[in-house]
Amino acid sequence: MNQTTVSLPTKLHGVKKQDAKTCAKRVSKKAGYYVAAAALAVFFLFPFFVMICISLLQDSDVYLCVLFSPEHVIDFGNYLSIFTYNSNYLRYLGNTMFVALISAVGIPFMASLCAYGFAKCRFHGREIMFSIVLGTLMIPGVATMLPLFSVYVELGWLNTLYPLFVPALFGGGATNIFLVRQFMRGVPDDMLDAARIDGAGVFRLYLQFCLPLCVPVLLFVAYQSFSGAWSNFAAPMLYIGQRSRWVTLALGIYYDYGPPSRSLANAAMAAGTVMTIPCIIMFVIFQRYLIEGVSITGLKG
Amino acid sequence: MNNLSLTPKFKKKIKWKEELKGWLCISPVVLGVLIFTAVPIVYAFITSFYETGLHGLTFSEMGTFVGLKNYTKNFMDKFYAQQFWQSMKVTFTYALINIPIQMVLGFLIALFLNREVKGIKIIRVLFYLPCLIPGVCSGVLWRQLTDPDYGVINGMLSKIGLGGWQWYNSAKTSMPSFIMTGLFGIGGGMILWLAQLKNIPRSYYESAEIDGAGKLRQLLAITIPMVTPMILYNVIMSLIGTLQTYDSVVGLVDNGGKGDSMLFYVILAYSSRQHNYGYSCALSFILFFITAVLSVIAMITSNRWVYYTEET
Repeated sequence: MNQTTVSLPTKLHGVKKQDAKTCAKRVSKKAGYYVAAAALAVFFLFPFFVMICISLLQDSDVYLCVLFSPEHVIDFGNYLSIFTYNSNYLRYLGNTMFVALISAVGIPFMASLCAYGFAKCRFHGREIMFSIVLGTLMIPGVATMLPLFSVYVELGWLNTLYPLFVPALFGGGATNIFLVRQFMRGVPDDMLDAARIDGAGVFRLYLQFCLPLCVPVLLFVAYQSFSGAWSNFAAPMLYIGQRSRWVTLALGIYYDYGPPSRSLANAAMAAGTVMTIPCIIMFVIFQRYLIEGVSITGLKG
Repeated sequence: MNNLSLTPKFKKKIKWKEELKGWLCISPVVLGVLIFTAVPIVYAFITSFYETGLHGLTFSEMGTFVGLKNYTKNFMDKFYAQQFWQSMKVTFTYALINIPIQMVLGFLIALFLNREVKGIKIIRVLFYLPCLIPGVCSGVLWRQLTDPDYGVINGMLSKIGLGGWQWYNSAKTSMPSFIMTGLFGIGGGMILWLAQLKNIPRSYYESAEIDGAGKLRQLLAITIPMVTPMILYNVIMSLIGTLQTYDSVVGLVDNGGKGDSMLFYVILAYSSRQHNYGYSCALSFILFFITAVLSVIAMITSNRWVYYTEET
């Protein structure tokens, strides 16, 4: 480690002194990189671009198989009908937002608490419990979703929003616990032992040392929980009826624009765009934390 | 673990307390597993031996006991067997082709984006955008775009003389179309890879460079060993995820698509829930068994080459 930092400056110095030929080579390499990135970006932006274009078409243009109206008319009618007072979509949006926000705050917290227990606490039965939790990963959603219907009937939760977020708050899901635990295992035990000698209790170690070091993975979990709750479809499909007050966006879009309906493409795309935009906003806010990751060597000083 | 030099009495007291606190930490997930996994799974297991509908179903009413019939009719009854094996074929064809494509391309794109140039953050966001379209939405979107008669994509393709691809309107083209449109979702795998690549200390590369290792050598000797925990995670998640494919297909086609070419396993299990709840539960159990076997295989085989940071 020390050797690296000592020898590095000499190397950087050497690079700077290289002649113009290598410099030109580097510039052209960089340009090539940007061209490749742009080509890939065009590919990845294609569905999105098409979605927005079609959502702005008038009804009469939809059957022409075009992206832009031949008469150059941009029609915001589909968006306006979504955002009128008392429209179904505002209600769907409110329901979905409620569930998504609770999940985004609650799940990372609960998952990290459990992950801390599994990664850093020593107690009998830890490995067995962790294998059981991991084992729940192998239980497919359908295997529990159908019988959960009966559980929710007993609890009186049918046609409410409870089934969409309460179960997730119990531990935050095996996937998230697994992910946070993998990350937490990288927190050096020496550091925690040092804090323990200084008199820090289990929960202080969790709140003060593990939680801050795991922020990147927790933000990732928070973001995943938000978008998972936002686009959750199977659960509302099973537990919430088509005419319920608590229909969520995903369910609403399925009934109004999916295979059961005969709707126009432009209205479907507008609804899709409205549903997708909050996900994009969340992603843009969090993307810094999502990708950065933290250096897990906390013993530098 | 470093054993601290404490007197035995003191040590014992700490142990007891730590035990309790550890269990306290994991209590939410213990309760959650009990209420929302164990109870329904036991209930489903019992129900899979009964013939019953979904309506008016509570813990007390069970329907008629039929023994193993819900399981055996997947092999004995001609109608059920045909549907069952078709859904198996669809699901595993998709898994075997799609997962390797997604993993390799996701890793390559993560490598491509794992460098510091100007505007790299914007490029990353652009690559990830299609993944932000929720499953049902993207199903509805592709359903509208790929309509063979008035969809935009065939409109554009026919202009350059490539019309006629039937997309989801024919049994032959449905699966290739689904895998093709899945390529827009590579960003999902990419972001997981990228987070892992970022965790590799830069000093490893610096010292490798000083030792004269080329880019390829660095990739093979540093990058790939360091991201192996993610390979384990990705393989297990992709397999389980694929076996549960539902949202994007339901938004895309009616009941399994043309000629049942998109009859994914979960769609079959769900479609029979209203009148044949016991059979749905039996299907769920078969899926559970397959998922469990696959996960165990993935875990055992990867134990040999997984690299954990703490075990250095």
